[in-house]
Amino acid sequence: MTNESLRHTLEEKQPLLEFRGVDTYYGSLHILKSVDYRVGEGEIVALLGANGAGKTTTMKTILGIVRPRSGQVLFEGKRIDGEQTGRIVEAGIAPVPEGRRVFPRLTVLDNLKMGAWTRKDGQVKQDMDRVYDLFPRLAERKNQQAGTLSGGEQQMLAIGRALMARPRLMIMDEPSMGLSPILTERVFDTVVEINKQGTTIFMVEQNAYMALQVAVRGYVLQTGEVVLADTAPNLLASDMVRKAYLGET
Amino acid sequence: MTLDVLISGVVLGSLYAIVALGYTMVYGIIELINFAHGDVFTLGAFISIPVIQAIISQNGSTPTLGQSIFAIGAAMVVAALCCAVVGVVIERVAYRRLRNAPRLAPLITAIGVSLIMENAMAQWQGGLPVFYPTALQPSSYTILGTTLTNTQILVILGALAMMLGLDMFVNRTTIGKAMRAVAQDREAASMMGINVNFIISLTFFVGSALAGAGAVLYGIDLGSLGYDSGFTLGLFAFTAAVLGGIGNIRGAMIGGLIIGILQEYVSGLGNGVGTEWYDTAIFSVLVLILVFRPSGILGTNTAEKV
Repeated sequence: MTNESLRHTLEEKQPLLEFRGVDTYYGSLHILKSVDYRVGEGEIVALLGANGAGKTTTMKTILGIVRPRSGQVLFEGKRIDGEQTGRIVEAGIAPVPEGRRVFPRLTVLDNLKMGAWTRKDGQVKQDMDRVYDLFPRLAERKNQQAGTLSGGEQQMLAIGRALMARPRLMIMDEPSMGLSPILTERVFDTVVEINKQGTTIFMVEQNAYMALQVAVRGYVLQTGEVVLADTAPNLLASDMVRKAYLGET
Repeated sequence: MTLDVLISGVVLGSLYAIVALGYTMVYGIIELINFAHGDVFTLGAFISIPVIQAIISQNGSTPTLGQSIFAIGAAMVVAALCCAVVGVVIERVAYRRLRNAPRLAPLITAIGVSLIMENAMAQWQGGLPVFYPTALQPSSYTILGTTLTNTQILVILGALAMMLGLDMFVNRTTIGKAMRAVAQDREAASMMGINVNFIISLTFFVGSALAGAGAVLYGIDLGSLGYDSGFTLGLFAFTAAVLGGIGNIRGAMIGGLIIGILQEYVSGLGNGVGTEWYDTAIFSVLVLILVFRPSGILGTNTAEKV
């Protein structure tokens, strides 16, 4: 797909998540510099970049933990920058945070319940069964403290916990971090599966190759600026991505 | 150790445990030693005095059991609610802004709040100990060859009920689990949409309410208190919290009982060691724990709390 036709398809419908010229700062440190992203309904979109490029800041900005100094963050066309995290989660965005961040001394079951914190409907039980179907290992260990799980199981729990919010958009921060190649592959398979079931995914990942295998589109972030935005195949083929992220010379 | 000493140790230890819970809950959630907690306890005792006086006339007539139960219950509820509100206000006014400041800043602030409260209470109640009104006609029972007063039974049962209630709240209810989630990983909890400020306020509410209700039991048991009673008691309760593992709720309960029994045991030794030595014994425990096992009896490894 050429850039021209890509832009065309994107403009046809309203994106689920959109960043419009977002600038964020930590103190006087300028992190995101007039960043634009568009994540369409049903897509898997990858965000690539080196350490310190602003990937995690992007995630925190979506969740309202970091507030942009200028620009807008829109979810389903409505501004969410400035909203409280609880409201944003309620609106349909759930995170799988970097480093998993499960609650180590709560049981697997209670971790999942925390994921459903903002839910007020009576269908939490069904979603829990769905998570257990997706990850039978979690069902086996539901009364075990999360801190006793292996890294891979904790990643499953972090994903399951996010699903408990019944999100329309799941944002994932480095889901492959600290996992073996086999486990990484399994996590990405799960991501595809979840996406097929209707959840849009915006994923930050250092493992550019894996991320672009599953994503339809991607952005490359460099010191807070989007330097490339294209379809996943085009990014995989681009010199810049090959050199910077796939270790080719 | 005789059974007598053990029983009076458990009575005293139950009171320490109740106060220790407030220290440990607050530490668990914001890693602050809330030095004002002991003074919130004192405030609870002072507030409860007029409540009891209003229900039971203090002219020497004997209150009926029904009157006693009503007076004590009302005093505990009023003291708990007042202390809870004061605790929440202290956090909101003095600690919240400093949440991301270096840890020394809120600690010094906590000492400042403690001093303000103590001086205000000294102005209000005077510098001398005041008598706590009679709420219960003293009586005693002989069980297994030892004497148990109704006050002792009241303190033990009252404290036990509070501890069981708290344990259920924290471990069985969703909001209690959210409290533990915030204590374990505040940012991750906020990502779940949990309102962290609300949970922290709730922690101060519950911890201070326990102190207020416990202060009524303390007043009835000891019969008098001064503006600085809670500060001293708070230091012992803090020791109990560290002994049990700071941040660990069941640890605070166990630590409180151990410190109470230790105090009564040392006080009863006689032969040159006695009541003037229990401070030394208790704070020696604090020093030994901090040196040899800083995580306390039930405490999780401190390294986990990153």
